[in-house]
Amino acid sequence: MNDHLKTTVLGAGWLDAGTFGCVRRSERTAYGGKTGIQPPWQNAELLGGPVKNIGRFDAVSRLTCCACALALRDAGLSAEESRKLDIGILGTNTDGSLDANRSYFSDYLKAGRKLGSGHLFIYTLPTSPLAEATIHFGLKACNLYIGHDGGGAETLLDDALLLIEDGQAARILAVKAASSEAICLLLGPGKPGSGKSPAVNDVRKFVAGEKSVNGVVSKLEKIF
Amino acid sequence: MSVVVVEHDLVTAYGAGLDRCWQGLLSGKPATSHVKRFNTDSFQCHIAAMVPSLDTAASSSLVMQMLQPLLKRLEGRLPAGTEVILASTTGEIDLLQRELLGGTQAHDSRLYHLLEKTRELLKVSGKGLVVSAACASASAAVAHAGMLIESGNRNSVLVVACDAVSEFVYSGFSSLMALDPEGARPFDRSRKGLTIGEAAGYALLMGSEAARREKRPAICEVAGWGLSCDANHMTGSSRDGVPLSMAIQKALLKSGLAATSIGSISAHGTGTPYNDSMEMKAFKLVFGNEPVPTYSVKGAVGHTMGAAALVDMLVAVKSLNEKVVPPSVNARDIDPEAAGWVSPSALPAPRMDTVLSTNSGFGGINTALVMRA
Repeated sequence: MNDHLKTTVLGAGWLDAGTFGCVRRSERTAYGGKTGIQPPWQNAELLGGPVKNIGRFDAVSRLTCCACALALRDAGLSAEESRKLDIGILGTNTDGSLDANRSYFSDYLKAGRKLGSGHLFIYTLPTSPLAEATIHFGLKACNLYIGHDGGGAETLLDDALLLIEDGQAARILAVKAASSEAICLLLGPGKPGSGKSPAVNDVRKFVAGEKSVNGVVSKLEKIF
Repeated sequence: MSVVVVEHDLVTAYGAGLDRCWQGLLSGKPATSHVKRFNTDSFQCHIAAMVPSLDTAASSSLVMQMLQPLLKRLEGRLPAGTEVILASTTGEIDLLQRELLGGTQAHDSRLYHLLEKTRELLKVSGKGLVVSAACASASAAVAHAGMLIESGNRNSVLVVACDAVSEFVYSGFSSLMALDPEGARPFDRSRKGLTIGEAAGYALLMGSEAARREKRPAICEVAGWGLSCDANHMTGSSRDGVPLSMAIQKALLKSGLAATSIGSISAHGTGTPYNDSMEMKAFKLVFGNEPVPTYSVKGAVGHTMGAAALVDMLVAVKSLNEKVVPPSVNARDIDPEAAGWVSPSALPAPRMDTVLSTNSGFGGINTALVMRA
């Protein structure tokens, strides 16, 4: 058996401006507006307990935490269980922390170039949203951001697989997050062949070249 | 197959080249100076470790001014198929500053754009990638390069690391009250914070067989790497050092070496009270109470953020080759926690053949690299 077949996609969660979902559980839930459903970041049960200061997170951090919670839920893991497992986090997107950088420096200029906001400054790293997730879910294996210019979803899977095969983590939450949408896949040991836990290299072929969250979700829904 | 470093270079506040940096460290004189690039009157501190001759009025960004002369030397000399990894935290953030200050048109300050410029300078065809892991970006990039080579995905990876002293980062660290007005004093009893610095550098890593085929002598082996996360606080480090010790254990396990083989430790040593204390706890968890010579370069060249781990690694490699453990510049009254481990003076280490370099960053990111002669 190919080594790649030992690592599977255990779950996938996603959200955009009006919907969130879990791919394996075939769930899609509209939220906000007239739905009466609260946004996932206000749903402590979905998040596995209250996330400290989530109201003060920047948008990418908020969505990253929610996508991780949805992926863990999709894999049947509670936030409590995630703290006991060897899980790392890997993130990517196209703009790094550009929005947070603009936000911090604009605020600093408005303050007369005398004092920056420490609160805004802490989000000016591409790994900051991932760090918020590591704190809430107790992810102790690794935290890094890897960006491939123009790469599709397969690059995120390749990098996550490399970390697992290198022994840096038993499981990886692989996240692609922007300020309006995010998706997270939980990779880890599973029984390949079952549609409920597809091998990473099978998923990889399906999502190759796909860049949008909705595009990846559509492809994943076909394979799960 | 082992992963080896076959070429490297850097520029720090001491000037161009690793030799100049090494001599600067041995001199014991920090490469810090008064910041004139922007007004620091309202900040906590007024000094930084800046590369001489960088010009904020130049058309190119500060990091590009550092990278251009460095990378020009590599043009046309990289092995075919070399993957380029850019490690940085804020990259060309001064371009965003200029834009928001209204002085110039919009610039693309994203790390991807800097990667593209880097690839153009090197005239390489591959797309490359960006690795960012806060102040452990460069060591995370070296680890990723090692994984790519060891897995057989690549024969050759160039890790390029850079970050500059900007009003953006200076004001940010000042707002967090993280700067020491007197200059960083890593492992000193009276340490109060860090000194911002800037640097750029590269390391060309290859599989040992590919290096032999290309007739590129190995400078050292990157024998092991480990990553971990505190999962504790956005800006504060773990108090017990356990997560960093896990990264070190992973790196040792990967190298197949025992802790007793480590001849010296290049610590992250920012000079903040909590970071340095956490590191000492982690080192004692791994090495017990038998001190291993430990040092930090950040009292001398400042905290160079995304480039810091590459500076640390290359100084560690130089130390390995010179058989000398450099001093911890500015550490005058060693903290009792670091007593016997950290020294304000250089130490001869004639039998040293393996060294450890550790880094930690915002968000609780930890990395460890083991290098062998």
